[in-house]
Amino acid sequence: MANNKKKNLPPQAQEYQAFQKQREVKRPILINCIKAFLVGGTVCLIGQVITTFYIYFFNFTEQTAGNPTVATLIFITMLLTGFGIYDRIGQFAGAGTAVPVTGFGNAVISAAIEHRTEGYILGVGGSMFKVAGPVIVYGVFAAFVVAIIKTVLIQWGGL
Amino acid sequence: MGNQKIILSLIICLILFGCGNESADENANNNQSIEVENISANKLIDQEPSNKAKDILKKHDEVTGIKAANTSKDMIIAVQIEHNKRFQLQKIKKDLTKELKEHFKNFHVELTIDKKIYLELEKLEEKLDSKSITPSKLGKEIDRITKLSKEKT
Repeated sequence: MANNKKKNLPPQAQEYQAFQKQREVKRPILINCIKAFLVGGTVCLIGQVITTFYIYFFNFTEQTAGNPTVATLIFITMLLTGFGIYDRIGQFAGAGTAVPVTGFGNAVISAAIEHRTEGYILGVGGSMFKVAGPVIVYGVFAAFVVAIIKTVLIQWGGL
Repeated sequence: MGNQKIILSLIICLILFGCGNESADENANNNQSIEVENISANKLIDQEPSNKAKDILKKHDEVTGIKAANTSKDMIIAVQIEHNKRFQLQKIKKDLTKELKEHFKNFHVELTIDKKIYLELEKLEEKLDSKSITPSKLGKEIDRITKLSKEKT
């Protein structure tokens, strides 16, 4: 597809693209991955500490401590997003802050802040899940597909 | 460029620490340190079945800690599994439960790998050792812990 498109372009545009490709700043993929790994890992470490805290000091088991942990992490992200700190961390770490559940919290809260001027119902309420909505939709859909595959394998595959 | 150096040194640190811990783990394994303490004999509440269950579970290499308590009908056991064996957690739990159920046919055996239950049983064992618990309270406490271990949400 991309190659066909290139051939259809006028020669000047092709020349320009080649020129632009040479001058383009290359993305430091490896460094970005390492940054994402370290910061994402730190987020998970904080999550594990919170889980352990709930297990030791409250009446939660390993099974049930997950829910309050997620809630706490999203609450912390909410505060950090509101104070503008999470954006800075996100700029540095990229996917490391977007992939854990904190990224979901950030997506909800930043949309709410952005659309505040449009009013509470149509602005905040209507736009809050603009970015986070697809996450929920495809998350549920992916869970559905995985559940079907698992059921088929267990029922008929004898796993 | 400055960032790259920092990140590189961080990775080297991580690798070094990781390898250092591995050799320490091997030493720990050689010593075979399992956290088990038998509950002292008490005429009011017989904990002999629990101690017997501990002796059975002690033989497994992957088990690093065992806490257990029982009434005349129910028995609840919490085990800690070695960290790198935790990938097969469900299988290990199934096997251990099966083995215990074969040994204690008169009991309703409940085996769990949950950290919370382990902590709760640790407290209960301390109470049993200091003989500051009555049989009826022990029954209630074991019921409560069993219920807690079955909670899903």
